Amino acid sequence: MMKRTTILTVLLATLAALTLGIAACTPAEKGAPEKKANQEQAKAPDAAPTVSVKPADDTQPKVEDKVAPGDEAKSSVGLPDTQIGLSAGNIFDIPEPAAAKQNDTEPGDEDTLPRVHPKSPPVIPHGIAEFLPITRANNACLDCHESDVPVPASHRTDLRNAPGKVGEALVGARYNCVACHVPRTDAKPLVKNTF
Amino acid sequence: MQVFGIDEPSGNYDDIELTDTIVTWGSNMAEMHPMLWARVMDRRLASTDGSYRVVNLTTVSNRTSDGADVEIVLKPGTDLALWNYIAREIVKRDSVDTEFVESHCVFATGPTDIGYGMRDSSKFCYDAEKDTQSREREVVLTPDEAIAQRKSPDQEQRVAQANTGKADAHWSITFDEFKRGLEPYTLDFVAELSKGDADEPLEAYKAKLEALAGLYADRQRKIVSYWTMGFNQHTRGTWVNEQAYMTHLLTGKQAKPGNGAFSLTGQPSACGTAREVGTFSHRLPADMVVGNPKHRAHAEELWGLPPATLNPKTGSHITKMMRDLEDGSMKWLWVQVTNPFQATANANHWLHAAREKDCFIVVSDVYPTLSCKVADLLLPSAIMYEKWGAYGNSERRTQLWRQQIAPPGDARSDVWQIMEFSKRFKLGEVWTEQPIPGLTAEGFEDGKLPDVLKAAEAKGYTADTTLYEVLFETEAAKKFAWPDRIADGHANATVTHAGIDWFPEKALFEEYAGFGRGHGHDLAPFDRYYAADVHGLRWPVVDGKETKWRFNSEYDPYVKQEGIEFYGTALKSIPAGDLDGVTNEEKTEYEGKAKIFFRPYAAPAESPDSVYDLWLSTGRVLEHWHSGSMTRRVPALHAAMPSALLAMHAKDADARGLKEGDLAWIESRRGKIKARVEIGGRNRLSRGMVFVPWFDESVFINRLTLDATCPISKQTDFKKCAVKITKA
Repeated sequence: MMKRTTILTVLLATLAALTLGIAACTPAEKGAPEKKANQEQAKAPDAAPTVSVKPADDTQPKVEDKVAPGDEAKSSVGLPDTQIGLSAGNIFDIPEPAAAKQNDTEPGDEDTLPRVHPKSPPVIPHGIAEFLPITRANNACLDCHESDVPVPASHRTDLRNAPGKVGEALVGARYNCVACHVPRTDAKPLVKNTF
Repeated sequence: MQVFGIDEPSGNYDDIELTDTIVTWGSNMAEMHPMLWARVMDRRLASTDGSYRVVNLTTVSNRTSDGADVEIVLKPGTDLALWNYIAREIVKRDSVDTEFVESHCVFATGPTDIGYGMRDSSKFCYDAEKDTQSREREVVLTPDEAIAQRKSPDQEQRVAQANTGKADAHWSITFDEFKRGLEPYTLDFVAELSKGDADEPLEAYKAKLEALAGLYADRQRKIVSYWTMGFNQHTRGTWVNEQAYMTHLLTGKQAKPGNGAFSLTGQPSACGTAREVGTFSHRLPADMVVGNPKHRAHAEELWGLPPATLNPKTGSHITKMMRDLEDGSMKWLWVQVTNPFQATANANHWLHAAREKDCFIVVSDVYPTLSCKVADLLLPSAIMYEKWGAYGNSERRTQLWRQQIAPPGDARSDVWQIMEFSKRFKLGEVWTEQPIPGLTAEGFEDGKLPDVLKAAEAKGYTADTTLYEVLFETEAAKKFAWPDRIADGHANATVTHAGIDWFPEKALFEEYAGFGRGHGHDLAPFDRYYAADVHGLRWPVVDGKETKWRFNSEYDPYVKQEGIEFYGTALKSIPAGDLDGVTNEEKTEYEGKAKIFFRPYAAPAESPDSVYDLWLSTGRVLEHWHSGSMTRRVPALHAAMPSALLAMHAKDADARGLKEGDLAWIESRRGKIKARVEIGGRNRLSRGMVFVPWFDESVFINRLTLDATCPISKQTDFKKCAVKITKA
């Protein structure tokens, strides 16, 4: 349930900060160079707020009463945009996307990764570049997954027409393996996940 | 709406199993509608004799191509010409279903000088943008465009865009005029114009077009045309939708099991949440529109409002909202369930506007999105599992769910947020005379909304009554008590947080359903959707029975006569004319008929030139939903697709000194970003074109895209603009 813990904290902190009358994401003055304003904020996130261009509406409920004790939301510091969201920069930055290396191991080299939850399709634990594309006429995945490491009974069950019956062959609706199973790169998660 | 006089598709997903032929147009179904594509593949693989055919028309060779029998790679925007070639062949091969057309259809057309939905002034343009923007006022037709519009390609054809404000005007034409419009669209002309892969031999491409026309013209064959954003995000999106209907209506292959033209829109959003419910600037629920006084009166009655309370002036569509922020006419914006500062084309303008203009931006979201970065106030929101809700999908199926878990911390449902907001407005503040700049409407004084407070007082309200009391906590709403046995042990955070003893979601659903019942949009009672044997119901639901195929007396109780009846009532009364304009202003009512539109080829708003020499198309990937605010936080999905890649042809990369994995600058007239090159991945590009998905806020491709829209639908064209690429 608390899979959003990290994010939520950020939201709470932001809400609290904004409600306390600190416009977090707004440059010091209208028309001021954003970059400067943001750099200043980024440099001194703990400094006393100097920015209050757009005071929060007084009609908004005061958040401090609702925030659990010890929560970061007690902080009275507004968040610069560099601390919100999945990209670290401010909105006018042009970031350089990191290179990610595709998993190029051979089938069998690596164990299957644990599933996120019991019904999630397993992540493909080997490289698949040489098996793609899966076309109507050719599915190279099946070279192994019909015999050595065969697909499970669920993949031989026609859920639309004969839900209780396990057949011999892979059903057509499951033919496009990469619709559910994804390979992986070495990219690290962008945010902590506690699910 | 223009074709049928009522929105949303005739058919449903069952057509996948019932048809013989699937044609996808601008729809990478394998990635964007993977569960439906699984059904297509299931059916195709079972067809061992190959009689079930799948054809993919696309500008990018993709995973849908991998599963198809035939792939046809088009040049961007030439779909308009290709449909006319197919229609011309249908006429030429004597495949028109004459009885169907004469009984159920009327031919029509409209103006062509309708601009591209850009601003009419260059006041806010960067210098580099001015040449593209000038096409909003005047266009020099390309030679192909001139031929396609029956003009001489040898002279300069300078066309003032005189009908930007009347883009939706249309009139009836004769079948002979319709055929005259199709005449330029010969195989030779269309093949040369539309072939998208420079490396494909012209003769091979022509053979594919002829075979495609053959599939549509074959009287024995059932056929379904599916399209997604390749059509809808298109500066002539309404036209190209109408052309798909044109082809299906000409051949009588519409509103029948296994036959039909079908817009595969976003699953829980476009159809159900926006079109049906009426959350557009110009719409009210159940296909009613703000501009129609009868519709407003009906809505006022159902909502218990005094007459003339609803503002008759259509508000700003999403692209215009952004422009309004920039020109200072919009000062306050509340964003719910969307991420517009990442999702709107030409984003640099709007980011600067949000930061520099005198405006206050509120964002309600579950996750901190890019839009949150420009917000002045963030409101943490409940995600779907944390609230009660409903959605409608493309096949008119309405599905309702229960709250599964409580929203964490201070997160609140959207309904709670709006109700709480409405408590802060008193009728004495909002229902007195209000200035509305630019308002002109019958029954209203120019520029203002009348005082309706007296009429409200007659209903028992006072100046101190809040909007919450008028709109939400009404006597009718309070009859839906909470707790309700339908909850079956599930909680309702809206109720808990609001401290009330009634069920807002059920009350709102039933009030909304009141708009459509008896008008062809009937929904079942709220509780019915929670029955164990119900997995959503396709509206209209009449006497407890869903409607699988509309306009067909075998399935649709709204059809009064035997057979087909296009009973939609909107826009059925039109003048008459020829291909060039109206010749008889007197309107004729075409009750029960659908319109077969002739729409010509028109070049895109911006095309590659010597400086910006490549087409850019944007789109989605399987792993990420839209702006990725949720899916990029799922470790497995992020690891599979960590950042948006720049897919391009090996020769185009080579010519710029780029190879797989290299960093490149992508630059348009509107901005520039960096991305890493991908060659020969799942999207295989033809020479001259690149593709970048938009999910990644760090590869912020909407800084580059053009905010041109279809002038009729107002939907942005994210699929066609010009860029240059250099090594970073």
